Amino acid sequence: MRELLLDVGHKAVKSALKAGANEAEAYVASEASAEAMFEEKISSFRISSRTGLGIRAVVGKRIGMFSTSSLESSDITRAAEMAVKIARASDEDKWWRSLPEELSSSHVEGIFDEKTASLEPELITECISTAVGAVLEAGKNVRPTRGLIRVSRSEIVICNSWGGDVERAETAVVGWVRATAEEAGKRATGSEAVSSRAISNVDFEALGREAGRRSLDFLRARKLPTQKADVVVRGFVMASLISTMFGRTLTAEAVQEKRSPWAGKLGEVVASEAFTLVDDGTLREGFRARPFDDEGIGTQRTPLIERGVLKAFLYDDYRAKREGARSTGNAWRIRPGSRPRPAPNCLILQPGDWRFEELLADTRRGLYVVETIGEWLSDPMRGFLNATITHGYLIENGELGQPVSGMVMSCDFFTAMREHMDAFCRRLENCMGYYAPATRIRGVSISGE
Amino acid sequence: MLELSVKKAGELGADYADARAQALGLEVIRVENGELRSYELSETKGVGIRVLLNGRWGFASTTHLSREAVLEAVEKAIKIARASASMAKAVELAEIRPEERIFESSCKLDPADISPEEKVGLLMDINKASLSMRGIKSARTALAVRKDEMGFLSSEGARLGLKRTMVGIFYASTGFHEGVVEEVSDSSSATSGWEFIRDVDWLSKAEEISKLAAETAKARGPPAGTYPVVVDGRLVGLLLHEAFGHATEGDIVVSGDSVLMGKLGTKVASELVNVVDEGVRPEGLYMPFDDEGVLKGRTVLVEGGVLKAFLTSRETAAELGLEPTGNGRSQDFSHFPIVRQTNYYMEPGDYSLEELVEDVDFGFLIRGRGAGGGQVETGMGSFTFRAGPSNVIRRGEVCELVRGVAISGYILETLGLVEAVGKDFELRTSVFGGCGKMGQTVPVGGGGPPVRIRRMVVGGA
Repeated sequence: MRELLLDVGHKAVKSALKAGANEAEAYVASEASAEAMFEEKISSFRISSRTGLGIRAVVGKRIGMFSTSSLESSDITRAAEMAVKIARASDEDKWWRSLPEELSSSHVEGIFDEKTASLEPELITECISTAVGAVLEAGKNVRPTRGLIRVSRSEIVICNSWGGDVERAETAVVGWVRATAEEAGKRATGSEAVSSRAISNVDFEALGREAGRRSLDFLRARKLPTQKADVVVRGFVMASLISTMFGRTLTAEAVQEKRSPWAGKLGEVVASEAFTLVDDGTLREGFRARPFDDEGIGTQRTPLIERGVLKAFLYDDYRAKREGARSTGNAWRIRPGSRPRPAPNCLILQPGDWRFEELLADTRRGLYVVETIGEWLSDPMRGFLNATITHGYLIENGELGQPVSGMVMSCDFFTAMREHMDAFCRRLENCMGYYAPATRIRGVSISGE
Repeated sequence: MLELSVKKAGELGADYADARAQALGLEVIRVENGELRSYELSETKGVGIRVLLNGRWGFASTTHLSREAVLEAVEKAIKIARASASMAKAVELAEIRPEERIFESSCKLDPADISPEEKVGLLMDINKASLSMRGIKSARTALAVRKDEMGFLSSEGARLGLKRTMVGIFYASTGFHEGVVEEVSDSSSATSGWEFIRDVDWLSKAEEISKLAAETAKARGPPAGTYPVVVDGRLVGLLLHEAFGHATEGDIVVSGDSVLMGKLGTKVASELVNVVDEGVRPEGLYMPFDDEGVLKGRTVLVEGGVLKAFLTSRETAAELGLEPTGNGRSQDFSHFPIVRQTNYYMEPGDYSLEELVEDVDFGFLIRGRGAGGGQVETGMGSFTFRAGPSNVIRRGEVCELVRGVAISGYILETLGLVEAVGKDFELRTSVFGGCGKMGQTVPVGGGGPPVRIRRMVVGGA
């Protein structure tokens, strides 16, 4: 496949130049995936294979993008001609300098796994069987009510008219299971999710066991009265909050287009000394790690907020050249034919040195938030955090106690970063390539009864 | 190609097979702060084959359209059905009458015939209008055109075709006031050709959003608590889709993950509430048949507050002992159909907006324009939404703007507290996004009238 993709990429660049482009770039992708949805049994199972070619053609300072799922020779030529045609019809981009002059690739370990790449239906069936078994073992009145395992392998080739090409191969596994417990007319749920580069690294038994156990716990959940509380946010939930609060606003695009609250604040103290946020495209086994970004520039580790000080933004090549900076290797495309834009690779809120049990003991009285919905609806422009707690536990005398549910937690996240986030656990949790430890936030508003 | 796939599946032992072919064209143009940011065109073509072998599903898809690649996909589908048999659910399909029909949505002016210069020029004008308003710091504008051509063929003899064109424009403005930035966005889409774009006064719409963004940047958040609220029609559509609609989807009901499981024929809402799912609406989505070849008509889900039906695929209809409602939908040819909503809405009542508001002493008019979306936990029926810029209601009057309004609750409790239903009805669809479920996104339509709800948890800044 690698040779085919390289051949397609070079043909596409050549065709675009022949059609009148000054510069041209080809992004060629091949992906195969296997996905099964399940309850107690598998309800559907599919295998899908897909290819895509995206061409960026530059005519003067005019840019056109065209993509096609076909890698047939005649379609490559047509796609190149279409990209040039669109470029000619577009307005000049006064900021345009050039495509990346030099393609590069960094060393990243653990993003491809042979066993995962096999996509063997028997292997996936076995993983489901393990997860389902673990849910059922949680109790007689517990069963898995929805679940999904998706396994994929992809190969990407990028080449451009400045010469050179880069290629990478990745695998990915995503698993999710929801358990439901019923007792005396009451129902409660518990969900767990996991994302990894290798199927062997996923503990499907733990996935099912945790979901099952939590659903049982929450048969006795109650709602809290409205109050202010010290909250320990689970690392997985914190990672989702980090994604919402910084994923779109710490990019050079948001800053240059005047839609980032961080514009003009480089060098300023924006958080406490304990708060460090890093983007790392080279993270070993990182779910969003890759050797080069979606325009062929090698990835790197970029400290964004270091010991509370705002240090940097994320760049793709276009945004970097606009202000005489260097790309940080953060270009992403939604589809092969989308224009690259800067976005995080692995965004990591650095861990602290607290053990989870120590943190609970120190908190004495508060709330541990395990599952939320709607946290992604929080406002990253103002830093207004808002999430509905579907699963939480009271922290009573320094230990986890009564399950609680149905309250809304809210706070000013930006103020909390400076003043109220005072403890970070040792262990990082991964939420689809965003990483964070369990974090304590003091004085969070809880809207309940 | 479809005939070949279905025939091959039969030869390999499938009891049932269907094949779907799709050509999807997308055109997206983005303008930001007076400059063209990107002009993208994409074409995707592929085939998906679904087989039922000894009562177990197998599915495979490919974008390689050679005879060999398609036949290989059929073999993979058969292999999956065999390999997962020990762990797979035994499937029965509800009977349907195989249809042979071609459908095409109305498209008087093909967007492909409109020059790129005209499209870019219009977006530039809209973006300029957004930026012209006082207090606006930044503006984004985008155009999207989506063209679908689909074919469906089954071993039972169904042969269906669909051509559908959707267009829309998105506009967002960022207001700025004393160090506070606030982005408000909106969009309008239709299942239509370019005539829809020509018929709308986009400049006024963009200016209105800019004005709202500038005002919202100055607004305060609501005090958190429980209040009586009037929810406008647009947000009723969102709320109903997320918090109630998903719980009526047959696969979620069958799995036991719906708060509505076992509630058919019982009261699940105030008697003022009537809920419908309909495949074709002039102002909404055009979906005359689903991805299992079942015609999609009008399904009454709630009548007078009583739950009357669930949305079903052929498989879930058989499991629940109900009729197939034509709701087996997939994101595209490469996905397995699961139960999805089409145009999901609450029917209007008699009250004017003034009448809905006049009985509220202190509460909020919660609005959908500029809303950030929502999420639901179907098993417990809990939901949370980020509404658009909304208003305080004080002594029966709509008063000052509030920002950052979040609402949450339990859907059955909330629908039970509906005490008045308005007469102004709004239904919308969008070419820019859709509904996400189990990793699949499909375009949907939704809407309703404004309603008054006795109390709701309102979270604020």
